[in-house]
Amino acid sequence: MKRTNEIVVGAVIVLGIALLIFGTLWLQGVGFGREEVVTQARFREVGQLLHGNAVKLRGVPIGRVEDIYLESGGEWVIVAMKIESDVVLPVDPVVLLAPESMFGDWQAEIFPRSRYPLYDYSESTDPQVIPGYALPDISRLTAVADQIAGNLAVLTERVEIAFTEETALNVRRAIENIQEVSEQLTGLVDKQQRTMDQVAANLETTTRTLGEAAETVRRAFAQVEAAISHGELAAIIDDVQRTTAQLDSLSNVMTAASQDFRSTVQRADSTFRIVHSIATAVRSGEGTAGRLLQDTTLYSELRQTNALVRALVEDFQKNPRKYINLSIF
Amino acid sequence: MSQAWSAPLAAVGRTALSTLAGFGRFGEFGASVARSFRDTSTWLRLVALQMARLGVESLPIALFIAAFTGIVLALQASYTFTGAVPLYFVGTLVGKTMILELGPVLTGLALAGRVGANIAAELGTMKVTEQVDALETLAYDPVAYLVVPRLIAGVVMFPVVVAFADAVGIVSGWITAINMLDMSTAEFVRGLRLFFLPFDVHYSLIKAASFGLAVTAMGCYFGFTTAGGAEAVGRSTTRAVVVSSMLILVLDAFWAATLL
Repeated sequence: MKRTNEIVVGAVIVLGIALLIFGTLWLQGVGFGREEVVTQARFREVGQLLHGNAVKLRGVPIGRVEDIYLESGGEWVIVAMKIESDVVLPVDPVVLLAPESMFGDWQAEIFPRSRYPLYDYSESTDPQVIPGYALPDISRLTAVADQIAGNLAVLTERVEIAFTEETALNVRRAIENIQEVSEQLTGLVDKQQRTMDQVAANLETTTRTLGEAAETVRRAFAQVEAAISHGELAAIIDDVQRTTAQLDSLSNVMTAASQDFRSTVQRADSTFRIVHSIATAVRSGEGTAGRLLQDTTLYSELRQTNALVRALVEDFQKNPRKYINLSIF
Repeated sequence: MSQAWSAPLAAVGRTALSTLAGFGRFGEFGASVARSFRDTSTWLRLVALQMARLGVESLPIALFIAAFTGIVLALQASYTFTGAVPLYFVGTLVGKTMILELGPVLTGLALAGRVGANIAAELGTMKVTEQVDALETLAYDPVAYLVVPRLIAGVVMFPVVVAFADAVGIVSGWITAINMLDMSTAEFVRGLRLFFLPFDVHYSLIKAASFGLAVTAMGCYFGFTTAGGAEAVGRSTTRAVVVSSMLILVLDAFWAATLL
């Protein structure tokens, strides 16, 4: 009986202890028979992360938080994560701590830094320690929202105090003015737009012209360069020198011709003066020519003579025998 | 001083003195227990028997209570969480409540009725039938023979029974969740693991050990201080159950205040 009691009690105690150990490990998420490695991450603070919280990669649980402790100095927190050894972490990994749901449970999720590059990660000098960042939880967001709501309440109160009937009228006028100014600005902008379009077109034309000029200059320079390179410049200079000399002699000739021209002009001037005096005399009816030009009688007689001659010719054509009587024998 | 004033004051004085005397007797009893721990040859061979009687034989009632507690917890949690809270928190509530509170406390209360009453009745009967005196006559230390094995058995076996009760409560809650609440095992386990800390288990075991000590100590004390006939045995048994139940609740609050 005594022996039986001892065996039963021993079995119950062993079973109880085994149940406690196995149950605790299972509830902690320990993978039995699975190889795991411990990876550390560094944070400024860890929110509500607890020992045993899930560690995820791309949403898949790959381990759990093994330990959380302050780094020496107390300014940083180190989170030790036990993760499956066959999991390949992304290049340049970072760890983000965030609520897993809205009910206070947190998780550590591993991402490549390129996914969320703007967070203020807690870098470590040890390359084995992954930089980390804890996102604000709902309580902090609520606190910020509460602060914003308070500011809005103050603002609303001030608006209510400031917003009288007169203010409303002023605001309405201001709005009308703004509308008017807006229309004017719209017109101005349209006008400016057209001007700018024209300027742009002109600029384009100018640019094109400049381009062509530049091309011409480029070709000229190319020709000059070619000329220089082929020794044609010396010949051109010689030609220019000869041309200059010829121009010099031509200039001398022109100078002499100019002097002759001046004397010719003087002679022409005196001739013109003579002609002028003759014309003046004619206009005044002096001399034969003057009388011819000034006396209308001669003109009448000439017209009558002309008429008589035309009648004579017509009669002659009609009756040539009247005037010409040709007999040979 | 008139009779009308003196009688209540005398009652208060008697109660205070009686309480102090009770504390004194309990202190004396504790001191004799401490002395008797040295008499290992007497109590060591009796521990296994007491462990079997107090612990192993208490498993059925403890597991029965734990199983139905787990079922009720799962159903009430789902009823409470409907709509607003995700259903996987049923696992969290069942696990946390069973490990931290209901496992140790309900087991402790159940065993206070079963073990505490048993010890008080047994020792009280031995006391009134002078069997305790007979042990002394036979040169046995009655405390080492009767009390120390029961105290050790209570302190050791209560945590074991509570561990089984916690496990059975969680398993019954899980079975209820997947069969009656349209939850999957993965959901329940997720909730179960969500806020689990190894400290929860330590806390549960510490409470269970303290409850075991309280229940066996009260049973032994009230049984050992029984004076009179069969009526006194019944009174001691009742007192042992009531006081040990109250002590369990007081200790529950004490550990919550000091450890959490």
